[in-house]
Amino acid sequence: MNTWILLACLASQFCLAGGQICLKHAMNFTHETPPPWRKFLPIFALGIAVLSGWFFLWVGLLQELKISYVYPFEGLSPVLMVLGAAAFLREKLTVRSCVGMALIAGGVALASLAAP
Amino acid sequence: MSKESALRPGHGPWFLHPYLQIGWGALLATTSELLLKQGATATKALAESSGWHGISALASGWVWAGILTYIAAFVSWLHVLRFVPLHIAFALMSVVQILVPLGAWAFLHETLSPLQCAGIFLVVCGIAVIAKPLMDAEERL
Repeated sequence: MNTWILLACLASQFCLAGGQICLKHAMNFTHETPPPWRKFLPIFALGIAVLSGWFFLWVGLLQELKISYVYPFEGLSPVLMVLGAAAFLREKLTVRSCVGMALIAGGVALASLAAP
Repeated sequence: MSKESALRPGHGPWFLHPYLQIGWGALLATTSELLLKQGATATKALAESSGWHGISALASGWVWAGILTYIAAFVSWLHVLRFVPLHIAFALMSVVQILVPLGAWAFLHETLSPLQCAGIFLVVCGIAVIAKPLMDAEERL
């Protein structure tokens, strides 16, 4: 696996986590009355754009490489999501949720290793 | 460990309860994946003869059904994001990682290797670790 492919795999997972963080941030605005649409729309659109970036990067990687090479990177997304939620959304993390996420990430990576 | 509910209040009627929507969304996302796989398989010959890989899958009704189901899952996910912290919602939604291989085994007759079963078991453990205190908090309310 060369450096560019490694970077593309990492970028796809950062896009997935980043897009979800943008969507969550945008949806938090919908609790305000009236919802501040001028704040909501750009962040929501950014979330959709970043998730689209993830989708095309991911499909491109799947077209170029064996699924068993790229799929273990899916295990990164729960870890990035926990770190991103804490850093950008100020979500409170517990030891329990971190342990749970680590188990899920390990499980996804392990199951992916078996992909044909 | 906090004993408070992780949910924001005000989700509306019972069928819009965020945890129910996570389950519903996971079922929709799983169905979507299986429909897309079925459609991709059905159009494999067309893709090879036309050279239009990816886009040629749109000739299949299975793929369109998969796209519509995916949109429904996304709408459900947006509702969930309004009320549940992202790290918890994403963790619970990982149940899709279990349902897709099980669905592929049951409906598409794919095989599950011991390594996949071990991975699925780890994901189940992870979801249980995160979900247990949430369920306890909900029961107390």
